[in-house]
Amino acid sequence: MTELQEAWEQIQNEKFNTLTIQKEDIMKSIYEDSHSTISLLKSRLTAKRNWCTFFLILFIGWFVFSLDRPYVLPVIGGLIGLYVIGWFMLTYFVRRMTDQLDYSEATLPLMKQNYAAITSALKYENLWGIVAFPLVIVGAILLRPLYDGIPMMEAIEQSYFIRRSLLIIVIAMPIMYWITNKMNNSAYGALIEKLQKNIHQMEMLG
Amino acid sequence: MSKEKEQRYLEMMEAHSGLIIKVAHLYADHSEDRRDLQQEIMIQAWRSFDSFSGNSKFSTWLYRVSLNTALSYIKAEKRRKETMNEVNIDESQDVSTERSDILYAAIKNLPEVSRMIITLHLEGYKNPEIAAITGMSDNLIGVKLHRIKTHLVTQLKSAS
Repeated sequence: MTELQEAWEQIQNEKFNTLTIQKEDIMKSIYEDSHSTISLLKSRLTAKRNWCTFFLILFIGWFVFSLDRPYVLPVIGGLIGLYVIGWFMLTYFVRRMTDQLDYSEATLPLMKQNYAAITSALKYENLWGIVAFPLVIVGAILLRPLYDGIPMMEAIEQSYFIRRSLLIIVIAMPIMYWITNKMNNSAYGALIEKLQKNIHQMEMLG
Repeated sequence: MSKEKEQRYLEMMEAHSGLIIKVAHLYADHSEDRRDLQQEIMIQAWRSFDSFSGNSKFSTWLYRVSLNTALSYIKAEKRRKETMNEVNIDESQDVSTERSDILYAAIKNLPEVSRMIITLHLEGYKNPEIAAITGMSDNLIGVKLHRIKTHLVTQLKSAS
């Protein structure tokens, strides 16, 4: 054995061989890996909720400044209503997500709960969009005649209204749907996949 | 991944934990950093376990993962320390006349890649295996090993 190898053996015995990594430490690392994914997902969902809050404040301000035009208030009120529903929905799912993982046995159910919360949040957001977006288009088309002082029923009965609404809905809905899915995929897709994979692996570890 | 494979992963990781500890000691100076690096290696190994085909020894595969992770870790740490203007204090560098301590300090003072090559060599890996792990050619490994060994022997001799 060479001089170097002898000294290396001594280093191994003195510095390394006394230390070990237990199975628990390895599992802890995997938990931490999942933990960072969940934190990131939660912060992105919170950001979505914050955007919802921003639009809600904007619409409420608009409502207040339009109090002297009673014809437009139902449309703005409708928008506020839609965003209130969206806000409560997102808040519910943000609260259901918890990034305070401990290393006890309860971790796997927590990971599953977070996975369920984020996938449900995106599914319900999609449903919300399918309902809200046509209504927003209709509201936007109605706004101009309403600002001109034409009563709502009269504006709806105008021949161009249904034609224009349908045309915009048919063209814009698929585009909006595609954009939303694309944005959600880029913000959440890889993270959700990673979390799903971690859950699967954790289940296998028993 | 099957349950059997998962169990195998845990058992293998536990059995080869010394390797991870060794790499962490060689590439991180503070105990906190070592813990971070060990954890990072375990996470990377966990993520890449699918790529372990079984064609090579598990220790060879784990060395590759560990060393690649350590090199990335060192780069990131260097950048972070440069930004934070931190001074690097090596906890392990106490003044010692022990031959093993002198060698340990000398290895730790080598450039990162040389550190990797000599560690693998001292662990008993043959040049082609080191070449496979590091991605260098056999010849280059031979040349580098010769230089590193000469340097380390000189260090040991001058210290004693």
